[in-house]
Amino acid sequence: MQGETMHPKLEKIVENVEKVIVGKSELVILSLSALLAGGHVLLEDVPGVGKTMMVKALAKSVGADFKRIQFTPDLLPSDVTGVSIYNPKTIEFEYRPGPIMANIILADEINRSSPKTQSALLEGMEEGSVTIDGVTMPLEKPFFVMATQNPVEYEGTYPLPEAQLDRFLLKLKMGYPSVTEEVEVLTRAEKGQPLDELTSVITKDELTALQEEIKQVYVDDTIKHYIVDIVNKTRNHDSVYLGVSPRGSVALMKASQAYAFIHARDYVIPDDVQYLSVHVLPHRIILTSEARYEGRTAEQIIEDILAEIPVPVVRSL
Amino acid sequence: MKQQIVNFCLYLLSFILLWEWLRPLEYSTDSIYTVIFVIFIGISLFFTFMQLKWYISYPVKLCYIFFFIHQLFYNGSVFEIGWILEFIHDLRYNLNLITERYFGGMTPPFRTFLFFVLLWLLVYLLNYWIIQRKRILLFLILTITYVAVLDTFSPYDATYAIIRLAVVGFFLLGLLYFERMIFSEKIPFRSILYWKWIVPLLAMIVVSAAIGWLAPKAAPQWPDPLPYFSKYKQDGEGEHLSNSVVKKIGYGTNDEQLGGPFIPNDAPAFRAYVERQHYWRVETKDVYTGKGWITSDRQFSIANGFIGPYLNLTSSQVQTEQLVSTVEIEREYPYQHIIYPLGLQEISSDADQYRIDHVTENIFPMFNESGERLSSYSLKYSYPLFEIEKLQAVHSNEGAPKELVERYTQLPASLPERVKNLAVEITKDKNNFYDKAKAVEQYFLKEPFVYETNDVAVPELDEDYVDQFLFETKKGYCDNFSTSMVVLLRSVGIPARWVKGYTPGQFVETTSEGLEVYEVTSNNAHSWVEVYFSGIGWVPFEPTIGFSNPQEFAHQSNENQQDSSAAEQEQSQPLEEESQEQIDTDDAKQPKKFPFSLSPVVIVSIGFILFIAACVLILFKTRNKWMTSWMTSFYKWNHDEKDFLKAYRLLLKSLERCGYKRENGQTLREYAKQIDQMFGTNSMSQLTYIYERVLYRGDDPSKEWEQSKELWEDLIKKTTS
Repeated sequence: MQGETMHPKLEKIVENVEKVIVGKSELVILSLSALLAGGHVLLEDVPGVGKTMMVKALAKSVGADFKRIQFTPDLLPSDVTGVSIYNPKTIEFEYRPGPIMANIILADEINRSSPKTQSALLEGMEEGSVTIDGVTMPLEKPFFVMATQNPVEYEGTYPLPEAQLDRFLLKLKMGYPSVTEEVEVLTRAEKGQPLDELTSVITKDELTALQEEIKQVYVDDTIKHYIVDIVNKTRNHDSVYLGVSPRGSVALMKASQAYAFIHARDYVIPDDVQYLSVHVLPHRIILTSEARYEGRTAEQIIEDILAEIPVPVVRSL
Repeated sequence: MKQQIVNFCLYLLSFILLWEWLRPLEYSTDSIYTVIFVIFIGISLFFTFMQLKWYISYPVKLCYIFFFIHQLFYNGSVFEIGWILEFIHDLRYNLNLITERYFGGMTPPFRTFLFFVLLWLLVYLLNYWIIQRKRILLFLILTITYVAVLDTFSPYDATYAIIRLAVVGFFLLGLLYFERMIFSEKIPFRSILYWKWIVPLLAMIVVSAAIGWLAPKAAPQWPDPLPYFSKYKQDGEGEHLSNSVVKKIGYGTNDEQLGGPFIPNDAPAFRAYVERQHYWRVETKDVYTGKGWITSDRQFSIANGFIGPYLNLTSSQVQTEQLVSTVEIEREYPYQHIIYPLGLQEISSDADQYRIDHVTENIFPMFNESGERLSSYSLKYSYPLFEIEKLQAVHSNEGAPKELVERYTQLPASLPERVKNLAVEITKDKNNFYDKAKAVEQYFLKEPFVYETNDVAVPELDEDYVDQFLFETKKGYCDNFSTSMVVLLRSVGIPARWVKGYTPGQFVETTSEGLEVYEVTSNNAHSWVEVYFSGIGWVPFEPTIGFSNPQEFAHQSNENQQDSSAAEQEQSQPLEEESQEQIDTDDAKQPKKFPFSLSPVVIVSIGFILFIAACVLILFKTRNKWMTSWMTSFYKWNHDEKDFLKAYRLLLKSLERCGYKRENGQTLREYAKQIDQMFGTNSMSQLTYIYERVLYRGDDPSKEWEQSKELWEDLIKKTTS
């Protein structure tokens, strides 16, 4: 929501990231929402639009460790989670942490690797822990994964199963910058990489504290009903084969809470729900083949539903 | 200040418009002092123009009203308490009448008071239309309709009123349109602008009015309905014939000049409670002049209630039936005379004595104190039952008083010979009086004669009324038929006379005592024939097409007591009469294009109803405004904790009524933004933020409401402007 005041600290984070990424404040705010809500983001976009840069800047701003995993067909689960290696000196298997042992992870082109490797990451995302050789290792908090998918190449890809898409709180698209924005990108590129100059705005601990605070954002019953109405509609919609699961409702609420918090509100309004629905819900539904043949997209369906479900504007007196 | 001048013009023009409503009152109602009302609207409009506070203007107006009510209806000083008490009593009496829905009985002071109140409201409305809405078209249309209707259906001549209305109305319309434009475009006041607008406007109106005034106009395409409606100027006073037009309306006492249209008038005359149906006599006439009827002589007797011996209509040989009836005279009935049936014996009423005219058989009540009149009386009478055999036995005037025969066989010397020849022709095969009379009576039933009330000729100076009817026009109403029958009978030496009175009227109901109630109106005024049979007396005959012979006559003599045919006839006749009366009223209506009669009261009430309907329509159309302003004050002074929620909901509703509908999936914020863009403010967003806190955060509404009342009021006002 343009023009609305933002939480001062979080506003600074957004400003910080924007020093590096030009004109993507909306995307930054959404990613930050996911981060604060303890969720993960699936970015579907072509290479070279600054995904890595944004995640790095975000990680730096919150003072978190950042790791990047480039998913390839031959990537093994242990390449993600780490591996136990026999140390002849101590006569013990020693755990060598993999790239997943960081706070913020960019999983690039996640659909290029085999499902086995994907699920290693996904387990970490859902459970907050990884299991190596039967030993469950907790992941450090905060833990935030931003996975990217390349929508152009389908050869040799393993599309994420629906059950796993569900694990991502938001599915976002980055999009190309506008002309003026791109000119600005070029200007900045002349001066050299600004990423290195970024300083952190908050510490990891503060971030964890903020994550706790978000749970206190008030969601009125009317809003909960509204969320359920929307989700329910996806389950009864003619063009939808598989509707949003209850996990989706929870995700929508949590994202809305985070989003409201970023905008310095301690309560959720229908605008939050509506705004986030188009990012939280589309990847959680499966369209019927008829709807697909008609060229309809999940986003369109969700927008239709939003236009249809009455916004709660009065309280029953 | 300049705007004041424009406003003054607007008020002046609307004053002229309103004045047009009052002008016709002098013509179409009994109000005389319309100038009082004109001054009243003038004062009211002036007060509104000066924007005087109500606590100044109301007392002044009320004083004005009461002063003139006192002047018009009460005696003594204004400052005496007596008339005020009387007026309050009057007020209560009238309010009771209203609750009983007996509007006809309201007293003049109360009606005047109501009229003042109505004018007051009208001024208020007019002010609203002109200053607030800046629209006057509806009122103008109403005014023109009102004037046009009165012009058509009443003697009021609206020739100049229409011109005044056109000029004033169009000028007002033009000026208000300009005002609206100025207002909506938010143009600052500049007098040059007004002149630029007013001068061409005035020029155009004046030129078109002048063209309209001077241009040749087509003659009316429809027949002038005025004759049917102009009557109410002389309502119920048929004897005051106007100079040029001979016509008959209801019952009249002057029959010197017969002919002309019969104007229907359903004003009630009296109500009769009878045991059986019969004609009602009022008087008879003996001298036919060739144009109408006059009375040769007057011989009065004074009697107390026992009238029978003075009238002596039928001989004692005739079989009679003893009957009683009661007559209730309507208050508006213009005559004093007693209305009675054949065979009257006794009258009982409040009258002290009765004056009987032996020649006309007209009976008047007499009072010791002047100024009284009868409202009801009961009658006892021996109703004759004539037997045809006995009537047929009369072949000559043998045994009849000579002067009677002389008087009732009178004919004017000017009577054309062909009338007498016709009489002889009709009766030549008959040897007795009864059959001759019957033959004449039935002569009119034949083809060429038509019942007609409208297109009835008046004889020229050298023409005979009967001759004209029998040989030329052959159409007319009761006077034509009855007069002709008398003249024809007299031509063959049979004594006959012309009787006036009423037909039995319209059956209303049967009372619990078994009496039949009949409502008799001016339309039931009638004339028929009585023939003298020596030794029997006066026997009524009915020559008029569409009317049945008075039933007492159609009795057959039969030696057997079981007289089935007569009984049948008796039974069937009332029915027959009813239907025939129906037919003849239909007949009477058909040639006229206006099958209903409009009294001025009806016209004024139609106008009034139209006006009320318009007011209701306006109230409904502007319900946004007055309802929300009412709500505004309601919520402003209330401190219920739910109020904010209710008030916001109301705001949403009135926005929706204004056409800014919120979409189903539109959030309040988006909606508020849209509304703010529309209004060019950010009140809606501000208010909505507060409302969101109440609705989605569970904040205390009453606390928030205190802060946001102003925002809300501001928005509500915007929705109503």
